[in-house]
Amino acid sequence: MKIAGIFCLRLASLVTLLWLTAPLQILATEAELPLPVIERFETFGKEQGVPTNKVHAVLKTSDGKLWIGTWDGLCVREGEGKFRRYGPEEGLSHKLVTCMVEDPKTGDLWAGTMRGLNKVSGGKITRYFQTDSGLPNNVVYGVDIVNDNIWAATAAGVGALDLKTGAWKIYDHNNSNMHEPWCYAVKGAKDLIYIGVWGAGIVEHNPQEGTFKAYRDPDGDFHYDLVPDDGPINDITSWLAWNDGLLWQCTYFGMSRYDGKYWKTWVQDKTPLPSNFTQFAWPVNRYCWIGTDKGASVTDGTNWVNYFVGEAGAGWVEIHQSGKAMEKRPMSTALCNGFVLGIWADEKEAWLATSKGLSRGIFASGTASGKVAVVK
Amino acid sequence: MRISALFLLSLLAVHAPRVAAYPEPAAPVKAEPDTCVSVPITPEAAQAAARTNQAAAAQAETYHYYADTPEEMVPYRNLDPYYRYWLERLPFRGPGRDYPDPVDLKSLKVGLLSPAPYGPEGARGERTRKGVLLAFEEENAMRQPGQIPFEVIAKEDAPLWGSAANITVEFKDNDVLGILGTIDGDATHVALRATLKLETYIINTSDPDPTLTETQVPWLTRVFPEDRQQCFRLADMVVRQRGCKRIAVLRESSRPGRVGVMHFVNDIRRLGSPAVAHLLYKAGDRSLAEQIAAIKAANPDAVLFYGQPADVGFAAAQLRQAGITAQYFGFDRLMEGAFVKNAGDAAEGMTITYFFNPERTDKPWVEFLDRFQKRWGEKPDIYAAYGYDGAKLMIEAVNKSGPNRFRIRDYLANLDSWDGVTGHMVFDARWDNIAPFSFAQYQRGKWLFQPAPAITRLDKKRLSQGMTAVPDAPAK
Amino acid sequence: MRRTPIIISLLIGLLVLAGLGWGSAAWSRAHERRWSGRLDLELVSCNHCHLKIENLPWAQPSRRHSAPAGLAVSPDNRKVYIALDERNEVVEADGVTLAITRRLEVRGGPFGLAIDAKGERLYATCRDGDRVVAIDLATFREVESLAIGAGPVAATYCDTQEGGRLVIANSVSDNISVVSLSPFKELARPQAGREPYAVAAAPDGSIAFVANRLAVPENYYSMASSELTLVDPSKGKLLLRSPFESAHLAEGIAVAPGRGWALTPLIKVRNLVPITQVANGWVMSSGLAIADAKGSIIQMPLDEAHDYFADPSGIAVDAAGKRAFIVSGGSDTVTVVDLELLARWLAGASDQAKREAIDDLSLSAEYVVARIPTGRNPRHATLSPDGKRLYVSERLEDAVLAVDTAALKPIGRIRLGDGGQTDPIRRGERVFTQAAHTFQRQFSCRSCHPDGHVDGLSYDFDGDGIGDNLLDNRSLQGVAGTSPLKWNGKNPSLQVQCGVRFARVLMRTDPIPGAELDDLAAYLNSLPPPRWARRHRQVLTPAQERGRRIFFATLTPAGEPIPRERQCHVCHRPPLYSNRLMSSVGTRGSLDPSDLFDTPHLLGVAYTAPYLHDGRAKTLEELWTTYQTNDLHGVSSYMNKHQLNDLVEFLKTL
Repeated sequence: MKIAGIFCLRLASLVTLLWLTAPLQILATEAELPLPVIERFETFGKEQGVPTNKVHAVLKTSDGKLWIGTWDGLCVREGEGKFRRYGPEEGLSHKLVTCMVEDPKTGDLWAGTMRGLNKVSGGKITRYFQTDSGLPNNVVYGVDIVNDNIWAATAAGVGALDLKTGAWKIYDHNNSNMHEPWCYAVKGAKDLIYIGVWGAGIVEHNPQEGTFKAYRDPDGDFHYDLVPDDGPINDITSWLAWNDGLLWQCTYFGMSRYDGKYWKTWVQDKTPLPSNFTQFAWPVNRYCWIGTDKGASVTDGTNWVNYFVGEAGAGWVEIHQSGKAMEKRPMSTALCNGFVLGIWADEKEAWLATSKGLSRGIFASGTASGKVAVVK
Repeated sequence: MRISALFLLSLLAVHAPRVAAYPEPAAPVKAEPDTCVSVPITPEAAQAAARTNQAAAAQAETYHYYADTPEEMVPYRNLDPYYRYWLERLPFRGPGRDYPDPVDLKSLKVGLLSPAPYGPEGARGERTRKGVLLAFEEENAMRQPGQIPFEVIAKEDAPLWGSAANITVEFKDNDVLGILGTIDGDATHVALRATLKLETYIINTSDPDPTLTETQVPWLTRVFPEDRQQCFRLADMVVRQRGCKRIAVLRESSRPGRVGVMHFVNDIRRLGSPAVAHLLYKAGDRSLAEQIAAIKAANPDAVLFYGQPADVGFAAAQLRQAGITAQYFGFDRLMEGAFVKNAGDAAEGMTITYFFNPERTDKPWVEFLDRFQKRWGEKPDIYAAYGYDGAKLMIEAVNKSGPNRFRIRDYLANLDSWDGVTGHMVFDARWDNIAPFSFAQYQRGKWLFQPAPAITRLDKKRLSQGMTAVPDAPAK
Repeated sequence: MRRTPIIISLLIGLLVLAGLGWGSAAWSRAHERRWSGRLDLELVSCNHCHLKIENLPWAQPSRRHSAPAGLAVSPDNRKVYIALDERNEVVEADGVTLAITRRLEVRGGPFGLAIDAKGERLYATCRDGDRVVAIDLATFREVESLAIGAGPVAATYCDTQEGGRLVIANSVSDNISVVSLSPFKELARPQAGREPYAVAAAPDGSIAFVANRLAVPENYYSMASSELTLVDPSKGKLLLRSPFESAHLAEGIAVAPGRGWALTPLIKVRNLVPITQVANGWVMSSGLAIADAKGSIIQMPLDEAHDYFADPSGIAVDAAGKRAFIVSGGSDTVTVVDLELLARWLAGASDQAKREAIDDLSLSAEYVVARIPTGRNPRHATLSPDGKRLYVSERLEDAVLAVDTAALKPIGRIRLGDGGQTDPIRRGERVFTQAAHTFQRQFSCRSCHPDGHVDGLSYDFDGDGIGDNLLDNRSLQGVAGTSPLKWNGKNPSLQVQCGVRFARVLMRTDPIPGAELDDLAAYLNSLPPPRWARRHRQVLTPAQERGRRIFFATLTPAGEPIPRERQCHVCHRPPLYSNRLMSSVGTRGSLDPSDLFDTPHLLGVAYTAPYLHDGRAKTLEELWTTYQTNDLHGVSSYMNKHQLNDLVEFLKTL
């Protein structure tokens, strides 16, 4: 008994020591890591006014407001940290908000829902449906704004509303090289538009020239990935993101990145990607945050920091650095849920929308998140 | 004591039901032996069927792709890929199983997405609907006082504008626990994408599109055997059993047409007989002179058709009139009367894949025929039967799991096999029913059936270890 | 005996004539039925289909008057600048002598004016040219031009921390152009409400207020509210939208320095009240909306219990924030509001009293301190920076009235033209804008048809007084040649439309005298469809061309014939895009007496939302989605979304 007691005491001391020095360890690692590292998570749920478990999207707008799109309404975080909800009662077209983007010029917030597109402008919501506007379909999975055009990826093609003229354009399998019309994401890349198509990979559209170019999984078959880094990992694009010359593709078969010349792919087990089921990507500079069904990651393509949460709610982080053994450490506070649906991050913080709450990732002090990772 | 407990635990582990962790339903039980009576087409065909069974057994030690595609028809079969998918079912790692049940529930709602009555699939959709409604009516009639009845929320899909997505959202707004439907591949794809966000399970009862389940969305089970299976069965029949070398394909110019023959074209190429002609026609088109000329120029010894039965019947007759003597092959829908009606004498010899012999006499099937006839005053067809089975499976899942969409999902997504009135179903890693297809040949005014080959049941545990499969008991 | 052959010849002649007549009638009937697909048609006039746009009154050249629009005064109070949109001119007048000193041709219909803080540059928004021009005031030359949104009608200048800015209301494209002055470029174009029409900025440049003239169509049975839009002039970001509840036609706005108010004259409209209630004063009244930077709005009445001051538009507030001057175009009056008194009343009023204030017309006596008569149809107003002079543009007088603000008396006019009294169109416009013909001068024709166009509302015109049978207000722009009029097609001419019955049901006064009625018809017939000159014979984009083919299609894409009576172009036949017949398109409501409604012309249809006889369709798309019944309103069930969008794009070109 005495031995057991001593053992327990030592174990407790060790755990305490690890706990207390965790930030220091992170700092030590971080110094060499060109990625932000989350030191701890804050969790937001019903107590803070989040109306439901499932948070699909999160966005911090240029005025500093935090917006979340949930299973049950669009919410904005107000001064005291509480969320104020806008639902169909306030004019929102449907309560399930899937995606959001801010118009950088006017500050208007555009929110896609499972029934219609919404513009939240000066506290007023304007709705767009397939029956009363040129929107291709009411189910809107992705939105982006490029050169005064709002692009919406819908269940039946992408639609672009010219905010200056009010004219709509639609692109689908009828008038582009889109193999299927089922669009899941749309992302502007300077003057190009990337469209993530469910079953048709990625379509690159040049609006000035009216051209389309498709990027498809070169294997042509969903059973395998024959060769890594040969193109999009799969044609079932579940999300697209673009920043600083890098296009990131999420699929349920892994993750891809395109730098305009070369492709890079990641799959679970063979790379540090935690799960093939990738749902969301949010690039910052030239690194990218990734939401999967098994936690969140941030990577520059070479180094990876993966955040997990266990069944009992305990969190841990795994750091994969090139040329080093993977480091696995417990976290003092965990991501609220591993099913990560949306992310917003900058160089100071990260917000993660999950199937069971909203988490804010607070970076370890002195992080080098602003460093630009070298892409090979 | 401790040892006994461990022993009991190990027993539980060994004998864990095929339905996975949460919740734990009773293992599906096959109620009655399958007494299907099938008539072999010819003695040679019977021998060929036996050869197929042997081939299946021989493949037991190899990696089986979904739909149980034979090794020699698997793409890139001679390469060792960087990464293999579908070795096991994709899990759903999201939360929800522990969410409290809704209070004051008046009914257990299930959505039914049917094709528009005026479209090409309208009649089949109507038969599906009757099968589904029969299942729910029977279930509600059997429910005890205090049990919440089922309610079917039926909606029609419009063929334009991706309306299936909108309807799926309407189902969600109605708080359905699950969705049944539909036939059209487009619509089902669209619904599946929506349901991934809405997290409501779909049981598909009639869409043959092979690409549907390739999307890795763990929210759909398909009880309806699909076109990939028909393709490899047909390829095997055309190339191996009939020895055809010059194969022409004539299909409808549509998405179902494209994805319907997609695997057949690849399969015959892998078997060494690439298609010598691949022609398209517009649905309803009756001027096929150009297609017929091209096929004739290709001098085929086999023609594979894909399209609506009336169109194929017309095309088959036109080809014969043009002097083309090639053997005819087609898909299950040609069993519908419009094919024979339009084809006339040209129907003779048409060989198609079919799910099973509808004249079989096993008890579940015969009783279903009676009940359906009694309720609707007509004989059920395959769409009604799979609609009925899909509904029964959904009912079972709801009854076992309670009104919680996530537990219903777990029940259905973890099911490896199930028995319905259509027969014994085996679900692969893509949640597809891979019960093998039979063949039927039209001879002297009726369809004669060949027995289906053995089912090769995937063993997930062994697959993950050594990528092997074990044969199931052959169908009788 | 000789008479017999004559009689026989006459009889034969009569028979021939009768035969010819019968044959012509039969041929005509067959011709109509063949081309319309309507077997129910009896003889109709040839000009239902066969007419030429070139022959319509609005396509004829008309006199251009020196009607003043926007005004600006130089910082030194010495110069007054006046926009003459009809004449494509901006003129400069001397503030002392009231004589015109310089003229500058500015193409595109200069309408709104703004001047920079130093008085170096004048900016003019060109309503028809969709641009803003910078005029160097030293040389009085146009030095820069910038393309902005469509139909810019008002601008305000403000200094911000990030430089000088113009905020411009684009009345046609329903947005706001925020323009930096150095460089001269558009920073952002946030969406406004419907028809943004007036702009004012806070003195510190922190915020700009934009008043929108019309309500955005929503549910046609819901209360109509136009919008106050608040933007950040420095970056162009949209800050807030606030509704003018149950009010519209906000055509002017001014900031009251020192009070944090933006003041907007408007019309309190209650279109869901049966029109019979004009007699009780329940349908329209004039108000002044007081808004703060948080978007809180209180509406105060400007009318008196038995005398109304219709169509308030321009407003000017002195630099001390003590007085507001509001012009009423329908009553030729400037109303002077003492803001101190108004503030005092507000300070003592309960929230409920403030909410209900607009309905109490006796309240205006608390703060209206003067009514200054003006010339015909005052529309814009501005004050000299020193506050001593008020300038009012008397639009139909071709003059700008100068008022001494101390004495509250006119001191003279800047004469711009002769007033156009010899021009029947001009006289007709006077009838149109004058509230003199309505009960207690409650409203003018313009109150519901600003600029002869739509106000976007539906009204209950039924004499039953129940209020459950709304009719969409139709545009009068392009009305020439489209008779019969009204949704029930009962009125054969504008004279009948605006005649005795109209006076009895709506105006509740004596009918408009015959001569004035003719002038009114001349004016209305002179109104071209909205922005016709810009769109007419415009080269179609590929989408518009595809839409045109759908509009004129006789077959579906699958090759199936479309029944003639359901081909778009048969009922909506060019050039008016109406065959001027009654049609049934499956839109009869439960209270409508008939299936048949007048086929509206489609010239400028994109600008006339909402649609259908009761205004139930808020967009063109809804005609073929939500409100299409069994392909009765054209065959649209085959259309995919591309085709519908293309059709709508084509309709926007008409």
